[in-house]
Amino acid sequence: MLSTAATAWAEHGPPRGPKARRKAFFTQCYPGEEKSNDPFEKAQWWIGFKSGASLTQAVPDERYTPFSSTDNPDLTYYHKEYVDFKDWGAEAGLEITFFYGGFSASFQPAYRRHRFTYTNDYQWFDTENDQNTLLLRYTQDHKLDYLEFPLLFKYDFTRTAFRPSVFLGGYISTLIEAQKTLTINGTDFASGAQNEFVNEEIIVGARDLFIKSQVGLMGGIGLSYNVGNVRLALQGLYRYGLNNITDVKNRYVNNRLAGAGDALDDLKLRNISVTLSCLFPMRFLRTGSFRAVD
Amino acid sequence: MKKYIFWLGCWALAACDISDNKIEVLDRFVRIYDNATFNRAFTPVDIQQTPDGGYLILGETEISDAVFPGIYLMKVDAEGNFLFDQILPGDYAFPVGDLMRVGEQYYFFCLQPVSLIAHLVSVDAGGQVGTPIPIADDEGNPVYYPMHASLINSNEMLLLGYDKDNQESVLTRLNLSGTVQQKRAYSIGIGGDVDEVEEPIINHFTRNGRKFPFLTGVGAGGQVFFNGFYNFTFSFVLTNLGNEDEPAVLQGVADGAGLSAALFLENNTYATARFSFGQNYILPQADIQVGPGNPGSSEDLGGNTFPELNPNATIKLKRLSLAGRDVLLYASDTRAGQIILLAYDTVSGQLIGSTYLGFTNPYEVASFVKTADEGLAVVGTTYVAGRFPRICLFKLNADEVGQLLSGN
Repeated sequence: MLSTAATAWAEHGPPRGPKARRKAFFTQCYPGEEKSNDPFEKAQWWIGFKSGASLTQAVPDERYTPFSSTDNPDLTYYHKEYVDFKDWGAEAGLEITFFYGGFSASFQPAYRRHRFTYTNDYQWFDTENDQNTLLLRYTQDHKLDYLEFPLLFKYDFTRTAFRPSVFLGGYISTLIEAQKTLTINGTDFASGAQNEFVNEEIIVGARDLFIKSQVGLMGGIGLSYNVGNVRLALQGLYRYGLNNITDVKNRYVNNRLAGAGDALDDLKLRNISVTLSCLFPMRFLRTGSFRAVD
Repeated sequence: MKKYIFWLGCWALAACDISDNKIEVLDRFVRIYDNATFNRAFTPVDIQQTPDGGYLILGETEISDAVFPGIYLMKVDAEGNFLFDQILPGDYAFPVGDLMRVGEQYYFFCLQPVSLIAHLVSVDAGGQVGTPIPIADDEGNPVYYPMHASLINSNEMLLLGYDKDNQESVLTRLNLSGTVQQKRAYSIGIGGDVDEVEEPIINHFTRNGRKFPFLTGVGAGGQVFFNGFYNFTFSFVLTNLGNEDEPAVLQGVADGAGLSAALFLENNTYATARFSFGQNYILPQADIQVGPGNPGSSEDLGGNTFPELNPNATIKLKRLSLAGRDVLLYASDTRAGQIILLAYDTVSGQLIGSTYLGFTNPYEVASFVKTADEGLAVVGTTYVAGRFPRICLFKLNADEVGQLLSGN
């Protein structure tokens, strides 16, 4: 590297001024960082695949339940308790990125699984006999598989081998499959002793309970590293769902769930994901060896 | 250009999907009216829609000072949300369907536990209960043990009662003021072992035994009918209240067989369902050829057996105009713990479609009513957590009714 700089110095003479000298030295050391006016050298297509894990939060808006209490005016008694960002989901997909002069537009279609859980607690009791008490907890685990089409705009802070970057964009998702698992466990004090039990899980397809589309905004940070011509990129993204994913017309159609006292609230999803991408450049400079435009 | 079209297409599809995801009125729902009381049961008897779009539900629940179930009234709004309820004082008990609507008043019968006399109760949509009217003929002879009542025109009702002292089924025609216009008694049995007949009747009233499908209604040519005990058997009795002519009887077999639903169609044709020692049969067009001195047997009617229904299942039957079709709608409950609706074409008697309601916890039907929005409201009992009997309400909108009638 130093010999290359010395050669340039010998051929063209020393740069004038400290700033010019630093620039000349840096340019010789990092040829990829040399600013070029050639449009070809400013642009690059990266194509690859990515996979990762994610955590989801379901944010309720309007609350619903088939239960209507005849003796408890507190409507919140039947409100669901949501467990936020707890159950791991997964995603895998493609990444197609167009880079131009430090900015990128990235299309990252992916298959994504959202998972979220909520619980309901119920109790029945006898004011004259404490033994006559039953406590039940209904735990509902949801798995929602979406095909997601995000479009992200990315800015690289540097053009070095390690590149921190920020993302901003939006996404459209289409629901592929949905499944709910209901687990009922409880404590029965009325059967002669404190009897704790877990009923058999009820697993139902819940495709009809959700609308097909989901749209939202997303943003995040990333870090990429070039290994030869291959780029490895780590992304952390936050998704902010904008629409209610519950199909309001079908809220009560599932006999198994409505029959057990379950109806979906109006829900919007939030999601945090971490993915690792492996990207391959599509455009090369023909130098001594092929070198990706970067 | 193509990618822009792709994105525009995606956004358009998503926008349609999302913008369509709203409803003006919640016209399709399930409600379970829960109560935290461990040892109290709530069981519906009948339902009517009120002018505000809500529903008035007549039910029964235990009361401490009577061997008979107490009277429970509940009002819910058009979306099924609980508004208020009341348990009538123990002076009156054992509410009997139908819950009959005339204008904005609702009527049902009950009994007074001490005197066992049938009383007519009126209630308005706001839950205001009128003073119960004791039912007695113009000679002061009361009607005891109400079993079933139905509205036969805009201001007259039929009431079936039971006279324990004389071992008689008593059929009464009366007006909305409770004034008896016609009354006639039918012997349950003379000289035989009446205890065999009386025991299941009393168990019916105390809810310690089977609920029998007592019925009343109008037949051909001004005749009326009742489904109850006559001549030692659970029978379908066609009669005239204005004379003492021998009635026409379709006999069951003791209390093990008989009709569980009946609705007059034309001439001798009735839409019926029957039970026979646990089995259930549905007959949308039964030809009941009986006459005075010429009794028939419900066992001879045949019909389609429904092994999926509970033994001696409750079967509710109404003739309704749904989605522009004249339909016989049967509601019953299955061994799988679901409520089943079966729609038959009134003219052809052919099955049009069926649907099931409820699951996970057991569900049993009590009654149903056509709603103002061309849907259906089905009321029943569910056993919350598998053990607590609670009232449930299924509201089907016009689309769902259309699907039922399209066979989907």
